Amino acid sequence: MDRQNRREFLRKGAAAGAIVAGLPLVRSFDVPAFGQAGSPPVPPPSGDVPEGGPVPGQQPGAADLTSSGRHDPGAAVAGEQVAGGSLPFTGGDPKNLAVAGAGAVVLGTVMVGRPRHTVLGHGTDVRTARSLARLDKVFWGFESPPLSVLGFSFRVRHTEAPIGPALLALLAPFRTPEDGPAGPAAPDAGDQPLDLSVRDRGERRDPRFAIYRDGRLLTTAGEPWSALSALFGALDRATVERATARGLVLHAAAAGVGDRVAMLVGPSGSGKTTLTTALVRDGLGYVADEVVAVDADTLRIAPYHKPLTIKPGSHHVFPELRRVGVAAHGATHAHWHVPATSIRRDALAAGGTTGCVIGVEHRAGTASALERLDEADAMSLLVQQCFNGERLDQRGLDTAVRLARDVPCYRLHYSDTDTACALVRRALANVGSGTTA
Amino acid sequence: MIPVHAPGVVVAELGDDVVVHDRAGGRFHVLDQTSALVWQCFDGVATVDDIVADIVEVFTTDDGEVRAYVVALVSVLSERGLIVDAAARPAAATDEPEPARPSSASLGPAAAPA
Repeated sequence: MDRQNRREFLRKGAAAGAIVAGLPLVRSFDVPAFGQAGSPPVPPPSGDVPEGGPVPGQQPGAADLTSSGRHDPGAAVAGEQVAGGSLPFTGGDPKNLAVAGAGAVVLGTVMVGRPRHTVLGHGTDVRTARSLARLDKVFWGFESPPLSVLGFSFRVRHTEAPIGPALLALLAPFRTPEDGPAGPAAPDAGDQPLDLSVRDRGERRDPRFAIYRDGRLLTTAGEPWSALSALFGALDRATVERATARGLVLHAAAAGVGDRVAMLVGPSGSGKTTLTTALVRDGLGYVADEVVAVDADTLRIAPYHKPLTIKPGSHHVFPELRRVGVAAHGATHAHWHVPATSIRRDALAAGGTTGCVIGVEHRAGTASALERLDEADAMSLLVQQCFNGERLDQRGLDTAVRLARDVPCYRLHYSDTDTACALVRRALANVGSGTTA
Repeated sequence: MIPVHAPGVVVAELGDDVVVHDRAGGRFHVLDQTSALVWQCFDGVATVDDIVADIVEVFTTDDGEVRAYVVALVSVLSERGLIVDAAARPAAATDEPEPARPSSASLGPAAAPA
């Protein structure tokens, strides 16, 4: 700008209240690497929020999912477990990384000293090709029908036939309608279906289960439930990759009333899934968990109806789900994978407009409270839980700014889910009223 | 020094504040109202002295205080890689200052239409 324009610009700033004095205020915060949002925080000392992976020294045999009678009671999760959180991403370039569910084994760690297994990070290499060929010879006891979500199609395979009905129930929201795909879940034309496979390698193998994506070994897991956690973690990862082109992708959950959706944002272990499950039980529609994709143009949240994963620390909050959670069967240490429709038959919601953004933080033993965030704090909240923050271009940044500026944003501290549900409803009810909750 | 926005930064207004996304450095920065105002003056043409002089004139305030503010801001933003010295860049680059809001079309896969 020339000098005259600059002075005019400065005059407007002065009229708007800018004061050039003191020190400039520039707040900076890191953007998580792609897919790395949601790193687990330091766990709270107690409370009803689950904390991460399996309990060391877990009771053997308690998580026998397959009812095949082949579960090895001595088989424990070997190697280094994914620390803490439910989010299975390990960050970095998505093409070059392992994907592991909580409770699963990080392959790169386990295989130290065994270079012949260094399959990760090399794309379709010789080993992957061999793996693909070998998987072609595997007898799959369960193969899902065509599934789709957020513009891509996939299928799931498992070597254990007895898991079929349970897995089918968990995957039901992703089923492609008989009369052809439609809506936001419809796969793009020419889309090659993604293959997600779980192979039981037998009780003598430790870890027993191997999880593959398109023939490539992603990770291993010691128990049926942790294999499912890894499977859904792989689905999360694929969803983030595919949804990135469509807008903002956040580590969050979402539940709503009618067309208005509350987005619950926070790192792993902050209580998003626990609160979302409670909200669904309380009558709200289930929109998404772990991955929330916000349309850059409309700020609408697309549905991502993955099963709700109830971690051990929250089992006591949902005693009615004890016999519902797949891979659990009442086990105290396992993740319960719960179809939302088993909480309420009409639980699934078709997405909707972002009505409010809530940064969730469970704090045991403290009074629950909802406080309004200013725009800068809201921006900080969003960006730090943004899966594709590292890749945000002008359009993506503008989307985050619109959310921070135009949508009421709050921080919720909660210790009990009943109060938290009431506060979320209150935040949603305040949409458009201009009042704070 | 002739401050100019570093190549590759993405900028958006957030009320009176400005959000700057440094894609290369992987960080977000929120500039408060006054910092945002001065940031907009970093166009690769005006020197720090030019900007200070204009602020002093418009705000009718103390030259020393304004200079201290602008110099501090330049220091902070330079340190964080958000501005560079246009005078130190190759001549071809200084002929066309970096735009404050680069086109989304050049910003990789996330810019693709939904």
